[in-house]
Amino acid sequence: MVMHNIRLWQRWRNNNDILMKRLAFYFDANACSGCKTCQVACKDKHDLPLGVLWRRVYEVTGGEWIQRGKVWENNVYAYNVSLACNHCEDPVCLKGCPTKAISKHENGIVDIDPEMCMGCRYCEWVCPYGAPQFLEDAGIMTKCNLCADYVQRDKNPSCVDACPMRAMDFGEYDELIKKYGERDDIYPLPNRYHTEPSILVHPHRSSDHVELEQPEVSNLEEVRNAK
Amino acid sequence: MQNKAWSLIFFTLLSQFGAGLMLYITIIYFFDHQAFQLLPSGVSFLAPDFLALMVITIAVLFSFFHLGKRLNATNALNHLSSSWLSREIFTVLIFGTCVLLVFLTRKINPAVTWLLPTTLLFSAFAGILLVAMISMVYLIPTIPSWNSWHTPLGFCLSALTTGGATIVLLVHFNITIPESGFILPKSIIVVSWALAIFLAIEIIATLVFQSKLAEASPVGINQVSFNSGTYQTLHMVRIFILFISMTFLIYFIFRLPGISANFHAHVRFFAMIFALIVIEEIIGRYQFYASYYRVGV
Repeated sequence: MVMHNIRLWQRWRNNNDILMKRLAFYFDANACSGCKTCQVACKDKHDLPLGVLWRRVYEVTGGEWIQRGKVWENNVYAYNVSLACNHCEDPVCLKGCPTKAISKHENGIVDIDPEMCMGCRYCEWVCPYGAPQFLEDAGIMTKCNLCADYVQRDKNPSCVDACPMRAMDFGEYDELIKKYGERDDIYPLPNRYHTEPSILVHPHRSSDHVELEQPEVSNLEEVRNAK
Repeated sequence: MQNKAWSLIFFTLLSQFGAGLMLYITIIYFFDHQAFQLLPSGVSFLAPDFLALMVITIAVLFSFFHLGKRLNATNALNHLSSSWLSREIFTVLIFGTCVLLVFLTRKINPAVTWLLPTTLLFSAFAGILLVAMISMVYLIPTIPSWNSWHTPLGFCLSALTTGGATIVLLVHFNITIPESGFILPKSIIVVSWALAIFLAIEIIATLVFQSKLAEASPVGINQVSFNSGTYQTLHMVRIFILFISMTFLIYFIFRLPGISANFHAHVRFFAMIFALIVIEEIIGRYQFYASYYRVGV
C-alpha cells in the first residue's frame, strides 16, 4: 500500500515536472539607457500607487580620476540594471511566508494572493532582489506577477515590450540560454545561489571595473523609497 | 530601522521574558520548594505565572501592530511545513496555553499532585522551543548581520537575564521578615550568581559581535556602517549599562547574608539593577533591528 502511494506520488511529481515551466527575463545592461520606460510601463499596467515600484532601475556608478604626472586619467563608469521579481526557482519569499499567500504557478510565476496575505512583510526582509513591496492602503504585499494575463495570451510582459532599446527579452529560461548563452550576474545583484533567479543578465562592458573600484547605486533615494 | 519595528522589539523581548520566567519558576519548583512557596498564586502581578501570562498576552497584542491586514492573521498557521514564522506563531500559542494551564492549576489548587509539575515542565519546554523558533525566524541567509551565532545566543541571554532578574525581584517582594530575621532561599543566591554570569557572557558576546560587524564589508547596495554614528553610541551605552548592572549585581550578592537589617533598601537596590537590565535589553533589541541589511538590492 505504501509503495503504491509512493509510485502514485512519483508519477504525479514527474507529470508536474513536465508541466512546470520556468519563465524568465533577459536583460542587456549594454543596451539599457536608463530611461525607465520599463518602470513606468509596469506602474501604468498595474496601476501602482506612488512609491510602489514592481520594476526598478538601479543606476550604478563608480571609478575615479587619477593624476599620473601632469595627466589626469579616469576609470569612471556607469551602467543601469532594470530589476523586478525574478520568479526564482527557489523562492525564499515563498518558503518564509507564514500564510501561504505566495505560491508558484505551473508556468513558474511566483505570485501573492491578496486575500491570504496578512502584511507581515517577512517576504520583504528575505528577498535579496527587493521584489515584494508593501501596499500601504491595502496593508498587503504585492509584487511583479510577470503580467500573468498577458502571458496567458502569449504576449510579453508590459516592461519588455515597452523598452525602446530592446534591452529586455522574455521567455522560457532554457530557450533564453540557447539564445543568449549563460550569463553572470553583475553588481548590485546578489549571488545566484541564494534563490536561483530566473533572469539572464548580459553584463555591461564596464562591470569588470566593479571588482576594482567600489561601485555605488546613485539613485538610492528612488529605489529605497520603493516600499 | 524598518517601520513598525517597535512592535517587533516588544513582541520578541516580552516573549523571551515570559519564556525565561517560566523556566526559572520550573527550576525553583523542582529544586527549592521553600522559595517556590514564597511566590503567591492567583490574579496578582507578584505571582510569576500570572505575570508570565500577562506578558505573553501583551506580546501577542504587540505582534498584531506590525501587521498590515490583521484580519488575515487567521492564516498565520497555514505554512507550518516550511515557514519558521508560522512555526514561531504556533509555538507562541502553545506556550501561552501552557502558561494559562499553570496559572489555572495554581489558582484552583487541585488535589492532583502531578498536575502542577507536569504543566510547569510543559511550559518550560514550550518556552525553550519558543526562543529557538524566534531565533530561526531571524537566521536568514540573505541578511548577514542576523544570520549569525549572536542571534540565538542574544535571544537566549535575553530570556535568561530578564526572567532571572524578575524571579529574584518577585521572591524579594513576597518575603515578610519575622522579628527573628530570616534566611534567604538558596536558589535565589544561585539565580543571582547565574544572572551575573549571563551578564558577563552578554558583555563578551556583544563586544565580539560588534567588532565583527564593524569589520564586515557591506554587501549589496546598503552602505551600512556599524562603527560610527548612533549605532556605535548605543553600543557603548549598552556595554556601560551591562557592566554597571553586573558590578551592582555582584555587590548585591555579597550583601545578601546581612539583608535583614536593611531589607527595603536592599530590594530597592535590586529593583534598580532590574531596571538597568530591562533598559539594556531594549537598547540591544533596537540595535538588532537597526543592524538589518540584506545582500543584493
